[in-house]
Amino acid sequence: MTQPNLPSANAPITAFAGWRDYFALLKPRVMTLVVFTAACAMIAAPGTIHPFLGFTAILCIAVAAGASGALNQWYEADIDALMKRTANRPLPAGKMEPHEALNFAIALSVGSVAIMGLAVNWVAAFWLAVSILFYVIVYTVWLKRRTPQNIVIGGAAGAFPVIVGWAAVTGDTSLLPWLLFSIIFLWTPPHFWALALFMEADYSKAGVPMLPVTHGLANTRKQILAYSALLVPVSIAPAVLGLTGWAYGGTAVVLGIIFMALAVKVSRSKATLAKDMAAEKQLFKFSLLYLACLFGALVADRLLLA
Amino acid sequence: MIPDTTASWTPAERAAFAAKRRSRNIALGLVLGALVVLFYGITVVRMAPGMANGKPAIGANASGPAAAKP
Repeated sequence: MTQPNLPSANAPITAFAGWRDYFALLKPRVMTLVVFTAACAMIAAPGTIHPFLGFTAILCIAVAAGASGALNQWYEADIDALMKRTANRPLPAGKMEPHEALNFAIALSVGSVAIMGLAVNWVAAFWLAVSILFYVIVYTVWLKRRTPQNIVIGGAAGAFPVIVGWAAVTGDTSLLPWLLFSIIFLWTPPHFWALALFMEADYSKAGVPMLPVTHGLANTRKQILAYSALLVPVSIAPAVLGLTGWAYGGTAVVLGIIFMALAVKVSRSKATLAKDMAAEKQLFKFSLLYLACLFGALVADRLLLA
Repeated sequence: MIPDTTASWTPAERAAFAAKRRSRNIALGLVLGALVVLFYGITVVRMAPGMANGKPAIGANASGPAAAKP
């Protein structure tokens, strides 16, 4: 009997990946945030797009984000195996062969960019391709294992979908989408470093040069405060410059005050054990709510102005 | 000829493997079906009269061949 595509005789039954393993490779949780911010940018952008093409653009952005996540997991399977949080991912858990993951990711990357270009426009497709290449080459391959500022660079990769969403509607990029890009870019370090503070042991074990591992907890807390202090004025800038209305501006001010208060609380914390890091956990959770509310306000603002 | 590498599998492992492959094939079929619908939808929208790049073309009615006639 001959059966191609079967794992080796000694391989566990799990060696044949199921559809759930492919889906897990796409990091669906990260995809949610990307889709949300891109969709908000599309609604906020001046102009119109046919609803079906708008759906196609969102789908392409989601698939491209998933493809980036899959390429990231393919490259980082070795360190994923060392961390409790990531050890159960399809590749480190041995549920899938690395070449299967790589082929899947490349097919999704090329497919999403091509469909975006053919169905929506090539400016959006260009920025979509840039976002994939930036995340995979600049962040994953080049900087993640080399610099403790890896998260800052990773933030840029996570911010590109806003540009793509805007370009899908307008066919170009202007000041507001780049301000939205800057907001996500500056939001990422406090968000991830708050997480890294109470997950420090995991990153240390995997040898990833996260800031708490390389520069200590106190330095990380200072940097969280510094990036938060930059984030708040940039988040208010669209309203100050007259690019959005009062609904967005008011929300940005209120959210910014809370964000800063929590960042100050973290900067004053002396906790060294994860179980004592209530302030860090609070900032991490609020940062998710912050971004959701800020972009929600952007959409509300646009709908109110309309 | 590809050798049979599954000879050592127990019937339970074979059944689990077959179930997994079946569910993956169904998922792949659904994805391909969704792609057909997606491409059909894109084609219809892009080729609709008065549409340019998926957006209503400004002055589309005035710029057609009929409008060129005196």
